[in-house]
Amino acid sequence: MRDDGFFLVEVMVLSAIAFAIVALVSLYGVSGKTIEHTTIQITAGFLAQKQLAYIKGDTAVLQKYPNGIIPWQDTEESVPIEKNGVSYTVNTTVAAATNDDVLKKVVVVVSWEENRMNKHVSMATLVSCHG
Amino acid sequence: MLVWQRWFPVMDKLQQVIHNKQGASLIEMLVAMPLLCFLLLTIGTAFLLLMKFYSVYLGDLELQQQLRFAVLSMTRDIAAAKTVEIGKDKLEITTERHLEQEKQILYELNTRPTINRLMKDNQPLTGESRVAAISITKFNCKKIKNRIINIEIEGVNENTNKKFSLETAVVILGDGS
Repeated sequence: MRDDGFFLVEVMVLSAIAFAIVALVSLYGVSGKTIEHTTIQITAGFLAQKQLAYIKGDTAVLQKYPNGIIPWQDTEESVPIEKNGVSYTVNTTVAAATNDDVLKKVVVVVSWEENRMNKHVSMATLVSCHG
Repeated sequence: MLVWQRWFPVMDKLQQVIHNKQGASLIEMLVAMPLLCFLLLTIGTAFLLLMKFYSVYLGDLELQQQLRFAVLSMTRDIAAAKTVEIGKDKLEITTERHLEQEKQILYELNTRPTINRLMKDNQPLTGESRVAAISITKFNCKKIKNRIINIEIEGVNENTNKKFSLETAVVILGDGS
């Protein structure tokens, strides 16, 4: 009967194999989350673009809300917006651009909760009040 | 024996194993073989699983890319449009250049028994992928007010049944009549 047990080399080789497998599995977990995050960001970006397009297409909206906060698509549609299994909140603010009464700076911020963290995408543009 | 080998008992034991001419006993073999099989099976299964994950992720990424490309293509064309006509699963765009040539840019949902493709001028805009079968399940366009076109598109990766939808709006910078 042998009393030697394992060699250090054997233990090291087995550890290396186990470590490689664990590292690969965790890598794929991370890449899955990254794809999910990309999906959310793309969706948020297009929602922000939609809101900006709405304002650019109808600049009367800029005068309609004197407090400078424009609701989503100027409708009473319930917020947050559900898309691809995530609920997004869209906040749109309008402020006068520096030294110009005609130009307004419109900032659209799309925010959502991801992994218990609040994340957001924002888009800003200058819009002329005269269309 | 070299001097450094005396300092490392592990190397000494390794030498013993290498020069061992007795071979392994049946009991040792009976223990070693299942262990080896178990190890190989674990590595093989892990490899196959990772390949499956990779394929799934690649397909989902392809779905994202194709839908994004289609929406960007449409927004670019609509922004430069003179006229936009919206039909069922159909979008006809006429730009100034196309007006001179009496042509139109036609986006159409092509429903087939296998997968639905979004076509631009009868050329597939989606669905041409080797890594996944991307099918378009929804293609809606509607006019909001006078110059704003709302685009909604939804696709599915047929291999994984993962759905992805995009919605945006674009302003017609031309006449938009």
